[in-house]
Amino acid sequence: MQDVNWIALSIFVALFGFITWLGFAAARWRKGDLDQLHEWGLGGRRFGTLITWFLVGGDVYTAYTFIAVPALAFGAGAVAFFAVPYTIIIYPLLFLVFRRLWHVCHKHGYITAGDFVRGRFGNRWLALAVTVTGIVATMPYIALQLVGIQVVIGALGISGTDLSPICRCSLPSWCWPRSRIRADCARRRQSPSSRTS
Amino acid sequence: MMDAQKKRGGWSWWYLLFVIQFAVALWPPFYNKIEPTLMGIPFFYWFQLLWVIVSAIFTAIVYFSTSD
Repeated sequence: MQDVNWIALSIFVALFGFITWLGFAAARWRKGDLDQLHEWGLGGRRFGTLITWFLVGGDVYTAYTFIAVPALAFGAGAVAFFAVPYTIIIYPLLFLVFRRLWHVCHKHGYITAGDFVRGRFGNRWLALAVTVTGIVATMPYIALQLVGIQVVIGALGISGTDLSPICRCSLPSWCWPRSRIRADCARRRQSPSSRTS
Repeated sequence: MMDAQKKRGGWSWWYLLFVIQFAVALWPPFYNKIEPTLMGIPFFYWFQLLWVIVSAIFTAIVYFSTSD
């Protein structure tokens, strides 16, 4: 603990505390019925332009953006600039697809990509394949983000070996309200029509 | 151009703006140069960052031209 950068650590802790407080405050603001999956997962589809703007920002400016891309630039040079044309190309593509996708999902009450595929193509196995692919493809990305967080915390002077037991214990229990999802799945099995409610 | 297609999801000529930015971004020989530099920054870097702004403007134009 001798290498701890106390100024950086104080700023980090203060910001982390503020963001955590903001998260709990936001959960109470315009509170929805969290027993419904579209309230829990999609904020009741009530996000406007401003909130969506910040959500997209949160998607873009991840540990990958701040750690991996600059590291590649320092290590390998200009090749790291692939990330810039990537955003130039991917955002118009998403703009073209997602606007239609949002309207269709809003109209039919779809929540996940699996819901959409099942409704559009009428094949539950295809929907399952899409869902499983999505989960499996997210795993390495989350692993990458965790490595990035480890590097960030390491830059504050705290080594990964000090923290890893705490992270392993606390992160999963905070991030996954499994009982809620299970209860909602059970309810949907009993009454399929409740999906569009 | 706008009144030709009122239906959502229809074709609009404004979408061709995206083709311009795709062509520019996907063809590195076009901007793989040092000169002209901008405040010491090589053309390769500042040109790509400029196109982030240009593509945002293009997307805004397409959005406001095609929204119903």
